[in-house]
Amino acid sequence: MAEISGTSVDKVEQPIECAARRYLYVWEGPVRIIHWLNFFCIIILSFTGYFIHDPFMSSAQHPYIMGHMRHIHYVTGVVFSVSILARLYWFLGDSYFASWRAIPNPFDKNNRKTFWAYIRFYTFLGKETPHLLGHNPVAFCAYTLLFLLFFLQILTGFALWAQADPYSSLYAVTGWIFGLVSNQWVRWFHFMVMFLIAGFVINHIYSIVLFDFKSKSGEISSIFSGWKPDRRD
Amino acid sequence: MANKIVVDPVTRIEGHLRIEATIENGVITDAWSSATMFRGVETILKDRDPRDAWYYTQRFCGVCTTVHSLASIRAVENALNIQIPFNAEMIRNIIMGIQNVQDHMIHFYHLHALDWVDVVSALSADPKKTAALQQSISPWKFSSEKYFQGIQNRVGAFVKTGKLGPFTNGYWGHAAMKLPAEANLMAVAHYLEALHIQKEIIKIQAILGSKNPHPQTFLVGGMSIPIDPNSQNAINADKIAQIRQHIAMAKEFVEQVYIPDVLAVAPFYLEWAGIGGGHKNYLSFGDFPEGRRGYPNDFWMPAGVIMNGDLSNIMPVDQQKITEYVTHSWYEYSAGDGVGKHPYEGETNGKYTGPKPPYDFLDTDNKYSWAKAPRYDDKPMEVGPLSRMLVAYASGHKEVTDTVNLVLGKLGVGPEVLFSTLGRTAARAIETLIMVNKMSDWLDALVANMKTGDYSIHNNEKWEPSSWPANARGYGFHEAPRGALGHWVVIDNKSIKNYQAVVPTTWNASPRDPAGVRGQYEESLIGTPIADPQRPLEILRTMHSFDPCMACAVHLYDEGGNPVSKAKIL
Amino acid sequence: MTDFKGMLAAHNISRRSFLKYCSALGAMMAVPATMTPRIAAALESDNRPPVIWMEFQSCTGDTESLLRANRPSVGELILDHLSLDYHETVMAAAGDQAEASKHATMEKFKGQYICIIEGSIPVGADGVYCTIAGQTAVDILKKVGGDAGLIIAVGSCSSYGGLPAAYPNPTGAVGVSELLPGKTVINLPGCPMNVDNLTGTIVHYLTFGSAPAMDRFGRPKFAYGKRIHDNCERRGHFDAGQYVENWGDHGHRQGWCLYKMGCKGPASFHNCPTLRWNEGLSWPVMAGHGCVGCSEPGFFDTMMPMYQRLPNVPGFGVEASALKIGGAIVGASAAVFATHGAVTMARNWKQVNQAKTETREMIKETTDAEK
Repeated sequence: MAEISGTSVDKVEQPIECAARRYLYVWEGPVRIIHWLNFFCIIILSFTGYFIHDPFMSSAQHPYIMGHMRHIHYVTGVVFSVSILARLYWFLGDSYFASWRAIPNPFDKNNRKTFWAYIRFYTFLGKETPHLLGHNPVAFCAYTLLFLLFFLQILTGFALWAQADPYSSLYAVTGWIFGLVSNQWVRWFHFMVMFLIAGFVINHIYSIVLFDFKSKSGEISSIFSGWKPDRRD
Repeated sequence: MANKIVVDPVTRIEGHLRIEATIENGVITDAWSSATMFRGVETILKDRDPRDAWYYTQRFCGVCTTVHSLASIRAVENALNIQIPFNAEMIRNIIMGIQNVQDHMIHFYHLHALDWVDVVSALSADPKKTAALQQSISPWKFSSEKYFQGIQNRVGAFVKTGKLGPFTNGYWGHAAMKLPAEANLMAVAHYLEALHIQKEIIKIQAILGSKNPHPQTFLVGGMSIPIDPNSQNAINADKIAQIRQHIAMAKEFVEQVYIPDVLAVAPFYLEWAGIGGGHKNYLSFGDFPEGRRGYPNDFWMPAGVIMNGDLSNIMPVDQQKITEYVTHSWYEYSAGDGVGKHPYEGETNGKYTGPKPPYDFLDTDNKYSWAKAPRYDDKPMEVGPLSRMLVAYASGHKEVTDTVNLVLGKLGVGPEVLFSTLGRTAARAIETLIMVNKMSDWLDALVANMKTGDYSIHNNEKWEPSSWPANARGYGFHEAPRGALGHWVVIDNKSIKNYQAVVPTTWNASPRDPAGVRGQYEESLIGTPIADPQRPLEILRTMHSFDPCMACAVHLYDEGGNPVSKAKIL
Repeated sequence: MTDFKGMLAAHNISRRSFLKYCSALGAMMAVPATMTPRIAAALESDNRPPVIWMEFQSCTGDTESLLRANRPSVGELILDHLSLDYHETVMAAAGDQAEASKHATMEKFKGQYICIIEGSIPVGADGVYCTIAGQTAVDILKKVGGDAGLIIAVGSCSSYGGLPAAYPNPTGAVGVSELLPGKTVINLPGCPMNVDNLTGTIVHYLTFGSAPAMDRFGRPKFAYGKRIHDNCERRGHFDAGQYVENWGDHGHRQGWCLYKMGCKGPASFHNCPTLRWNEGLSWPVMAGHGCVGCSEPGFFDTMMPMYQRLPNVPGFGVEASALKIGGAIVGASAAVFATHGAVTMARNWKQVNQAKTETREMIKETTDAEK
């Protein structure tokens, strides 16, 4: 874990001294590509998904609007699933910040300390957080939860899609869900999770902007470039 | 020596009815009517969208499959003060009308006839004489000797298989069966014909209501069946022609078969004009609005109350006077079981205190039924075709007066015979006749209105819950085939807070009230002769004359009760 | 077979039209045309199977549906195809005589008779919510169902509990299969069931000697194997984006898609669009009202509110639609982080200002030095 005491707010009065000694390559190409692929997929899936729930445009706007919206939704769903699978592959691979190695260890005293420091920071109880290069442990938990939601969306999405043909192998793989809850609740769940993801997006954007200011370590730019300044003393 | 007998299940009715009766010297001296099934639909309705209520209440009963949906949407419309378009009113009239006609037809031929007709005796009939009999009573097309021979062969072949199916253990050869063999054969033929006719004429409900049973085009604020003469997806000239055809078919059968049958059979059973009268209190809510002012104005079938068979005094209906008792029903009132509750305040907790099943007899001194005891002005009332016909007759309703006088004239009896088992059956036939003749008027009114370019079927103003007041309450009445039906709904915070239905069979099948006054079924059975206590056919005759519908009768709103189990989220 | 031929003749049915009927029935059951003779043979057989039809917590809607049968008609069913030994709504006998009839069939045809159940079975309060002849529905079902050769649950109530089992299920109502574990129960849900699916099932059983293939909810695939939505005559309007917006509007009169009026066709497996009701005359969507999803387990809770796409969020009242609560989640998230941002700004205002001042001073110094 890249846990190093770093720049903090009280050092703000010495901006020049904060210049990085060097840059570290934190987010590898695939991580960034997948991030942006997910970004676009979520936007498209949410838009088309919402449209499928409530068709707010009609044939007056486009002669085959629901057919195309659903088509786009399905294709994007497949792309999104591939993207999530690729991310899972990368997670199991040999990178550092974007892999399982970055999982905070709850049995490690320092890790716990860092975790609570961030919780205190978020709840205004503390002002200091250790400087980290990758995800902070609270963010890591949030992302894990988010990916869980992604998996559920993919599962419920494919299950609903499979209903078009209960004889299909897709239905054979996903149909068990309807033994647990009725397809209306699956549909309801698929719809509600969209809002949870939207809520997360707000959190995500807010937090990176916050930390971009706070730590001045390129939280925003790194997801474009991959580089982060090394602010270790 | 008093002898207590039980008839359970009472068959050829809707639902689960049990009759216990004491017999002394071959005559019934006391009787108890018990509803033995309970579902708790009103509990289920709590907290739901009032616009959905009709779909739930429709399932009170699948026989009178439209009536509870209509009463429900009327109650919600009354609560929210919605006036529906004229077209929707006429469509509802047509749906209600054919419901009455078809329901009465099924009742007479398939639920009631086997009380009077001996199927086995039909085998010994002479087809030639049967043909002559048929031709003498009406111009009905199926009247040839060959036709009746075919029916007889078919029934004969059926009996020979030794498997009588639904006719097993019927009351064949019973001393109370009095029709000659030929009349029996004719009735068997009509039993089979009516099976066909009923499913044909009810197609009107499929056209206007999507399907039957349980048509699905009802809406709070109107109907969902679009009308547009220039659309292939709406009621257009072709669909209207189809409806006309079915009305004509119904009219032909009622005029040429049903009515002649009643007139032909009745003389053999005239003693039943003196049996089964009961309390002689009659209640009709009135129905079939015809004018532009819409429901509840301009009823074709008038509302009124008759007490003690006094036809000279028709009193107006006041819904405030309706109360329900649970003294002898398996429910508890918080303020004690001796008080009556108006449906708006209808507070009830189900509590079974009867004997542990399996049992032989109910504890009729205490609680013994799942049906409550509704009372009007603290009096037990009879509802149904007889009540409607009597109220209309006494109010001078032209079609009813003419038809009743015609039928009574043919039978050579006065109107007092109507207060009886036979009277109920006759009133049902009379009603069917005037109803089937009325149907085309409503269709014509619909067509005339379409001609003006008015295709409106729904009043959208109060469709969205945001347009509703926070609190509202209302009631909806309907004259169902089995009688006066009322639904009461209390809407709180846009959802149902209290729902109560007081339905025809609850009036008729009511157990005793706190004063020990019997319900109408119970009272009607007093004095009925029983030839063979082992085969109490006579009880069935009187019970069937009411056309019981038990699933409707039993329902409960359970405010403080504990649900038996929580629903799973499926 | 002479008797059967005689019966056909008595009904004015030619051999040809009879075989045509059999192949239509076969087509409905999705069996190959070569099976037509076998179906015909099954229908012609003189061994009319005995049937015990029990009604428990029912509204008799399924019986009424039976009365609308047309292929074969109910008259033919009763006289020619089945021996309907017990059916409270149609049988002549009552009371003890009715019970005797039932017991005779159960003894004589043990393990062979067809048991048809209509209505749910209340298990609450030891079963007192439904008794017949002093016995509880639970006991009767266990006896009658236990000895049956084939059990068919007609309608949604007997299949899955239906209306009485809707929340909060005041009587503890359940479907047949829950009380007869281990027995094969063919569910024919629908509110009511479509009688053509019942006749189809019976003829399948008589023809092939076994129950039809069923889905995970015990429904025959020949009737419940496809979604209403995927078979719907209005599907084209759905894909095109032509929706009914108000009852009676142009789209409604033109038969556009009822999706926005809460149609549950996309969530319901049933053959209404192809089979239709009352001899193929109509069905709810055709008559302008959305599907209610009556063939799905628990539909009285899951498919409601009737005029909305999705169930409401439980516990938030009638107006708590999924959209409103979803919007509230996003709104709450935005509000939380906006507040957090504002508080953060306020807490760091001093430092931020200080940094601004210092930056300005630094720029000034640098500029001055350059000068």
